[in-house]
Amino acid sequence: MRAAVTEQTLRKQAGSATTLNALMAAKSKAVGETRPSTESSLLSSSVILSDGEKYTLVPAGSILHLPATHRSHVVEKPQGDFTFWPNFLQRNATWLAAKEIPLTMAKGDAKAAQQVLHEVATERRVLVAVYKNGPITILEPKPGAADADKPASKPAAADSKPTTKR
Amino acid sequence: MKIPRAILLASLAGLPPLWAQEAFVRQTDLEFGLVYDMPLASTGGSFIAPLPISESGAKFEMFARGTAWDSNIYLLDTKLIRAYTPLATLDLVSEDSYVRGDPASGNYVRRTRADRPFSLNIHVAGLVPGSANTAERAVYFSCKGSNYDLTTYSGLGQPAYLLSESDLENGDLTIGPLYHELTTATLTGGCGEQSYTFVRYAADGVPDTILAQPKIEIWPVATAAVANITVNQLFIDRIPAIVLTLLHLYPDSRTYAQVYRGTAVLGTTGTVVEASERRYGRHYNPDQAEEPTNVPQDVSISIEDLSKYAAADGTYTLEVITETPFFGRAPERLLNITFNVDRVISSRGQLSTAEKPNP
Repeated sequence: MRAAVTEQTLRKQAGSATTLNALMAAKSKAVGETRPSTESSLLSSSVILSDGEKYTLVPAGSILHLPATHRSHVVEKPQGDFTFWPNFLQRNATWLAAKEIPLTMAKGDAKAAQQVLHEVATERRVLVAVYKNGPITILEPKPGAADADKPASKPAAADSKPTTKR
Repeated sequence: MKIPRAILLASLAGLPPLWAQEAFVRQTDLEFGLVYDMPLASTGGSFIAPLPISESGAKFEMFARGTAWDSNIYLLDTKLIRAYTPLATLDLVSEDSYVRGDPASGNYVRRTRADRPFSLNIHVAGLVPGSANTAERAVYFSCKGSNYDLTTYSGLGQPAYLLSESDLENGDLTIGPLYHELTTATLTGGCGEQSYTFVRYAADGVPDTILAQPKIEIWPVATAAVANITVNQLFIDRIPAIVLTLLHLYPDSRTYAQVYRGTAVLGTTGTVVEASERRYGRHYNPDQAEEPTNVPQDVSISIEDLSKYAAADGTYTLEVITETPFFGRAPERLLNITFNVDRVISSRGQLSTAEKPNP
């Protein structure tokens, strides 16, 4: 049996040990002028959908259709507890739906996009583009494609706001 | 390099139960920026990524929620699928064998106590020595600290601060023994985490990519205080109820109060006070069905019948002992207090008779 350590004893022990910074300085090189980000890019590469109680993350550029009445569901910072997309979709089916899209549309094929956008023009719910049930980004059409074919410049509905990414 | 059209990914099967059985994998195409989220079934298992991989490669990141009471999202693993990828791993060595997450993934959590040193074994490979390209020549390494709330043991909203950073080259480094460097008011009250991040520098269209980010949680040294009794107090009647306040009991610990006759002598085995014992963690609760706690515990224990353990007159010592994974689970004394019992009230007196003379 031993007595629990006291603050004084621990300060003495820790004081005689070398700090991580001192040890690393001796065994590695100093960082240059540019420091990389040490945070996960999850939030910065996502759109946050919230129902007030829970939120979920979908890829930036995956919101296919966003009626004006539901814009408040897209928030800048997480609100409440995180839940996964399938659960979030299920609990918010009254205002949220998944729209299966062809992979060609996700990759920026304007013709494929035109047909899908036409189908969802009158949709009143928020639509998230999915491929095999997984939310997916819709890339903007490749450079050189006709302007009329661009899904980003041709909203499916007057009050919708499809988000695209390149 | 010929890049495969599809890739087999490890899944949740290897995760210990402390991670919620839900996760998703985010695939990011490194050529076009296409992002695709793949929900993972709760049963886990390997699977084929549905999206083809472009010539520039792809980044796969696996995210999961914490436990039932922890709704944060954690990056569990990152895999870069491309022609050139550095490798960085860190083995955090603590006396406590506890681990949350998969150590093989590089994103896991270990823990220690504020007074116990730990060490780091770092392995870096796959870099190109002498390359003019920073991303090929070095991997960025940093250590950040973050303090937790001392009463809730939560790190929610707490800022992180930099403790160390450097560029690593190929090779193995053994660093330690290290004590925690959290900026808490006292060293024994160290409560928080130190995270170690390895980042591949951005290059060739690939953004800064976290290769590994293990953490070590640091929990305070437990403390014990007692009320309604003072050092060397004399009790001439029944001992009143005393109250023990135990703070920061380690999440893997057995703590109890004991009483023995005589003054305090470290190492004396006494009688364990009934109902004073507290057991936390799987080691001390092997048959417990529910998941053990992951954070320290604070408790208040009222001892009503201390007289039972001090029946005869004399000197006694009350101690609070804790056992943890540290020092080979040897007992450590958190508190000792000596008191006296003297229930016999002695007095000096004289009895005399006076015989009435006969008339």
